[in-house]
Amino acid sequence: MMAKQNPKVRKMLQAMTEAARVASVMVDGDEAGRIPTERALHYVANPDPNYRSLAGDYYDVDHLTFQRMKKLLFRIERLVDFACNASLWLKTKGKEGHMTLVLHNGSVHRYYRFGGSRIEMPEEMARCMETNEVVVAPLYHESKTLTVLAPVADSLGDVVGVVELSAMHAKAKSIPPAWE
Amino acid sequence: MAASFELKAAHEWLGHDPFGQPKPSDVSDSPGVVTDAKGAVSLRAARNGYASFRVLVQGAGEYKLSASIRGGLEIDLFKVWYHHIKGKEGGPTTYWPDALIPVRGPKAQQLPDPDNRIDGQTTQEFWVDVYVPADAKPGKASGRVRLAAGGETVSLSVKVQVLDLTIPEEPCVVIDHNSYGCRFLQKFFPKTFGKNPRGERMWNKSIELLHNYHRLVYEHRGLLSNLGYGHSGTYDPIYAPRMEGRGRDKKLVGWELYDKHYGPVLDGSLFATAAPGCPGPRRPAKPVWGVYAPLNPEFPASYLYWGEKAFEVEFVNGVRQFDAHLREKGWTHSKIVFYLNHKKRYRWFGWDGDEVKDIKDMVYQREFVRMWEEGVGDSPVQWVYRMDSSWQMKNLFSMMEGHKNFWVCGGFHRWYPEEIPKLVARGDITWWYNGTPPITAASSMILGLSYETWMRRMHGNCAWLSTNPGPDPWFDSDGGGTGSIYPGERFGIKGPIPSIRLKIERNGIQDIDLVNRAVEAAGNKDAVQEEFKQRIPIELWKKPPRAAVELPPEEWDSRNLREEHEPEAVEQKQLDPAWWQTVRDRALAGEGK
Repeated sequence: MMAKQNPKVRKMLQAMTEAARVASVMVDGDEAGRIPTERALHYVANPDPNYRSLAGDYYDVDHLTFQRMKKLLFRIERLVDFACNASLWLKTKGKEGHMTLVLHNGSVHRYYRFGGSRIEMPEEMARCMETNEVVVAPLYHESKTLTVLAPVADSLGDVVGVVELSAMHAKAKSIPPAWE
Repeated sequence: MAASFELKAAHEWLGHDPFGQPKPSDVSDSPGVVTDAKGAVSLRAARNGYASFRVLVQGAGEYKLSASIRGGLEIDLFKVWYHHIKGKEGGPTTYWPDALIPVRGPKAQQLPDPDNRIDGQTTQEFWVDVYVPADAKPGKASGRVRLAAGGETVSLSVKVQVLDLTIPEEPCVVIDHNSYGCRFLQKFFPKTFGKNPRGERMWNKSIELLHNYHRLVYEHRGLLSNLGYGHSGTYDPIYAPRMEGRGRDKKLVGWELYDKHYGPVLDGSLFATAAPGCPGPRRPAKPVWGVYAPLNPEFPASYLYWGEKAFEVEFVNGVRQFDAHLREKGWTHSKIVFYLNHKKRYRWFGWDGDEVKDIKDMVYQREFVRMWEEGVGDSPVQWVYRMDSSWQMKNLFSMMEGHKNFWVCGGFHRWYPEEIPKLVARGDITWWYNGTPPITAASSMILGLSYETWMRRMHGNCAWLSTNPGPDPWFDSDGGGTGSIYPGERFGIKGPIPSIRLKIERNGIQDIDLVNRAVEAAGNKDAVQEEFKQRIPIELWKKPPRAAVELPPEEWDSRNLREEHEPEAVEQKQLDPAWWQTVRDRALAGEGK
């Protein structure tokens, strides 16, 4: 069951939605696609069951585009006046229905699981990409994060990924641990 | 009735299951002997340290077990916990001894032990530590382990030959038990934290518990390392002060929690009292060998400014402020370890701080080292730069020459028998890292950590994670490969409790310390190490696989190397479980010297 929104949460989500609109304009899907190397993406899509750490061992990025994107996301986070972290997800090439985290900031996340190289696309991410619109992810519980998703399009207008903006719910008891 | 009980002694390296059967991996062709012809426990022990054995209580019903000893010696009893490991695919649950619950006072025990929940249990193992103070007189001391039940008593005589030999105060190898953050404590100590842990109270509880972990490990001649920041660069406030302002005006403020956490660790006062439930303290209260600094790509500078002048200003000034605080407090006796732990596979940063695979990533590390060196200058604080190194270690050894290096090398360092001694010779601190042997492995397997360290003439070993014995270490153990230290809360102890592995490891460090002092005094280290090599079939160095010779590290992987680079403990199948006897004999042979 979805949790009721209190006024503070409503205000936070409004601010995050505005930031997400900025992200959908500012984040370049072509540049995002150039961050992970081809080999890294190959092992993300095709893990070797006998060598569990291969996808991690071969994960590599282009330093400059990674750096630029990380800074851009830092700045987008600052559009709101509360702690909010951004993550960039791209469709996993060669693995239909999956998303790969390209980079993220801070420790507030909704989808990332430590050490994971890809996830099955959550319904709200699919909706965001299909509609090319900012989507507020369902809020299931007060202890969970507030999340707003922004579509990321390339130069042809194809939606290739999403920016996740996540913040702790106003009633959350403490910040997430550094180690999770 | 005591008549229905029996007491048996067993060697420290020989565990038994709750039905009296020896642990299969501990069965030796030439088992260590712990009793004399009359069945009395017979130990030889150096001063300023411990000698240990196990006692098996066999029978059924209620009993009390106690132990005493004379001659100024002390004796500690621990009840062994049998960890349940569920059988695969519906196979039977098996039970493995490891966690040690301190026995203080004449508490009534039951066999079968209702707490341990083992149907048909007939045997309860206890661990016995005999502590021989530094001022004990050489000669014979005697004691007794007594079991009382139904008004009757059975006992086991204990005879200790105190040798004219004193274990050095400081270990010659650093055996490190690594851990991450403090939130794991809330999972393991739910009653201590209460329902809604938050704020100052939560941080104070965390500090208190971490202090007890430090105390326990220190008393076992080891080091607890506790990294405070995550891969994202975020940290809890007990690990670093807050950052306020930006650029030239950025300040580190609010040191209270940091000081409360690290002060007693860095001035040594923490070790003047023992952890709850533990005897002692028996080691002198001194500052720890070293602690992690909180420096990382997001502290004390904002990574938003990486590559711009603001980053350098914030980082260098922040390091200076941190260093000034340490100096002001007089915390200059321990290593302060600057370590970049993040990996790009976790996607927070686009380069590896830990275990660099692509040499191009070193551009970032070298820049951090340059700024850090500018910040610390010629400070009396013992700063070091730690690099955990695997794929690229050989290239990094030469690239980083001249800095205050602290290497923590993965298993591949065994391929470099010429390079490792060169690091040591040029003054770099040189450790290696590994996993902790699981509870199903031979009890003596953990001794390989100190043995290999000393034999390769390195300075230390880091067990990469020692404080996580799994979600349910008691009734659904994962084997304990990441936890040789257990939470004591379920036994009413507000702190950690030790394990058989920790005890055996401590006794091994004592032996290595005795051997090391003897060979250094006699100038025969080469000869003694050669003798060990001949008698102990542990491969100290290895020929690298073909791929490691022909390909650059960027192209290496577990497939083409045919070797796992993750820090897992690998059982040495060819080793007899009593292999350490060679080292023990040599350690105790130096009496009178």
